[in-house]
Amino acid sequence: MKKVLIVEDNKDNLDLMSYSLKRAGYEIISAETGEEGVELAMREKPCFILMDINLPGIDGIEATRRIRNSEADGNVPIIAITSYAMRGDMEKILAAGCTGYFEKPIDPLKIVDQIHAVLRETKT
Amino acid sequence: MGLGLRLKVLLPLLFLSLLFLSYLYGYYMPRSMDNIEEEHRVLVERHVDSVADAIVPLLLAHQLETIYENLDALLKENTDWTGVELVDAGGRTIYPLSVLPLPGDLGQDVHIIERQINYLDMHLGKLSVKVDFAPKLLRTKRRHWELMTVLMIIIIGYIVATGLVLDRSARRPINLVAHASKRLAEGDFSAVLPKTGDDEVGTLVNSFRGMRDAIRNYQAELKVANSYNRSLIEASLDPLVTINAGGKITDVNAATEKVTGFVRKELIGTDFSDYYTEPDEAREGYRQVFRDGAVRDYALEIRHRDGHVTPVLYNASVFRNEGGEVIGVFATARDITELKHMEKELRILNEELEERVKERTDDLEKKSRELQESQKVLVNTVEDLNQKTLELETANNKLKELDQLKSMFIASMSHELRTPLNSIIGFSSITLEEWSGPLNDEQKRNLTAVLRSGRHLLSLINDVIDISKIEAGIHEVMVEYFDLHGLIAETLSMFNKEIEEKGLHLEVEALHMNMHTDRRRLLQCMVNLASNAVKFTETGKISVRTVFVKSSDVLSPDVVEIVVSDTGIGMKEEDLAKLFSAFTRIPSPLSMKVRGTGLGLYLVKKIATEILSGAVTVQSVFGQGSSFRLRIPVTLKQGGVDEKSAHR
Repeated sequence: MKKVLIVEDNKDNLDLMSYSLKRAGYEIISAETGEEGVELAMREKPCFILMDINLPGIDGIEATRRIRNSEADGNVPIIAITSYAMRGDMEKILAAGCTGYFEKPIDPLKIVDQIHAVLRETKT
Repeated sequence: MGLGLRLKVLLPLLFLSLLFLSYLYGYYMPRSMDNIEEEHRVLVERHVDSVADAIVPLLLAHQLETIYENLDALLKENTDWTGVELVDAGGRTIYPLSVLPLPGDLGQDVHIIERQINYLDMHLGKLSVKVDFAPKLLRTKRRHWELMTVLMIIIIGYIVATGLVLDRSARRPINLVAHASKRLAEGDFSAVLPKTGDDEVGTLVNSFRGMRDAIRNYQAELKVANSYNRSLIEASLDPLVTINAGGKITDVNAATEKVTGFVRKELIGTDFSDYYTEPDEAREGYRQVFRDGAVRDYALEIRHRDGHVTPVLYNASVFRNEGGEVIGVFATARDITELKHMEKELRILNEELEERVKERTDDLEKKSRELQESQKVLVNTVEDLNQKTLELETANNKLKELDQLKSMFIASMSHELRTPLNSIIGFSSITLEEWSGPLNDEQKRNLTAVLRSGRHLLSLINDVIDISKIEAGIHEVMVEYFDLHGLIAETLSMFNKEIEEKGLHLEVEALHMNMHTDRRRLLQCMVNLASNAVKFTETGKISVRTVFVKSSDVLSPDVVEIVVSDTGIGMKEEDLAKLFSAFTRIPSPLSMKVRGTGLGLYLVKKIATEILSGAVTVQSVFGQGSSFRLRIPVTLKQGGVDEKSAHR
């Protein structure tokens, strides 16, 4: 079973995303802080990471940067989950090493398609 | 003079003629006579010789008869032979028979020609012939006199003719010209001039006439110029006077006559200084002019003949002849009687004024002190006012900050509200999809209501966030290139299902046009307009058209018009005015059924005007439909908008 790491501090959003991804056949591991997310990413080697940007402690941008700079496999796709208000920070997010992004609100009926679309885009 | 010319021309002629005649008379004629006489003698002698020769045989033969006949014939033939005598060797006369002594008085011109008649050495006789030359010479002399007479006549005729011609063509015209120039010298231009030919005299007369005309014209011009100059001088109201080096008046104008009471004739030649109350000063005045070249405002007083005095100011300067030599002083006087009066009045007025000023100054000083005191009060008041203004400005700034704070508060509040809503909507939709197990109809109905309410609340919050950001000036602008047609297709794709369900007809006429503006904001507007059109239309059609409007000048940009029309319920005119205000919901039969935030068109207007630099307008007929016209620049100029986004 494919492992997915979700870094998200909001429990409801995490549950909503987990629900949809589990249904699509993914195994979910989750972290509520950036530091924890970096640690899990190194240890568990997920096939991709969903990264919320607004996090307590280090934010999603810093976490992404650390994962990319680690000795472990740094090529894992990282998909940023941004809010509408963050449109101005898009360049910073991509510069930190995110593979792609989608915007909140999370629509559980569409999220899997959105993720697949981003992954497909980066492969081609 | 006239005779002189004639004599000069004719005397040499006369002299030459006399010389010629003397030569003819004294030399040529006597010589000619002698020659003729000589020639005649030779001729006669030859004749006599031939006669003597012819007689020889006759004498030898003693044919005396024949000799007589021949000699008679000879005498008869030659009328100038007055006698022939033939004597034989013995001295006897053979001829004439009648011995007639030859006339003693032979006359001056009677010549006797004798020939001895010889035959070999035998002397036979002697022939003498008397010949009178006078008739022959007389003829010749007469011819000479005739020639002389003719020559005399010709010479005299020529002299007379020359004299006449000279008189007519030269002497008389010259006399006339001489007369005319004499008259001209006296100033008379009308003397008669002779008619002219094209000879030298004609040229002379013509050039004299030309000269006379030129002088006449020049004199006329001079007269005009002179009278102009004079009239200028006379026109001056100021007394003018010219003075020579000796201080004598040389010319004046009428004003001078008036001010002195003397006429020009009386004034000219008299001393300039005689007409002033202070003659020494007057003298010193013109001397100063001769010394310095000019004086200005030299004050003198002219005394009139009747004794009254005129104060004047003199301006004077020297004037020069053509050689640049100073020949006099030209002085103009200005009557300053009035000025003196005024000066006096002024002085009086001045004194009065000074007195009054003094009075007023004391008054003013008092008032000034009072004023200073009230000024102090005023300054205090102004300071108070400034203080108040400052306070007001501070309050105003606080108010602005507060307003911004309010908007920011709403924006962040709304964000906080959105996160839980996301869960409500998310889990409702999962459950409604029966991912967590089957639901009965009632559960489905209830959950649908929860989902609908959640979505409505979300769109309300989204609109509030957008409006707050725009009002707080913290909205972001993302300008990108995109195709207008694509944007409209994307907008309409969101409503495909609903349009199909309602059975509405859709008309789209969208240009493929490259836009460079905030795509997401334009999409937001389009979604709002399309959503309204679909919501409020039950039957008929919805149309979307785009029109490109090229700018007519360089200052305004090219724009695109997007018109969204429907055949829906439409609006009353009185409702149109408040259509674009916040929280406006037009009451209608449908509005009960149709949900809306009341912020949609307000947001469209905010975005269209404040972000996209455009405008939105509406036309509507109640019961027939509405038409919204969005008009925005094809290319968004970012200058003004960047300022706003810089507030972030």
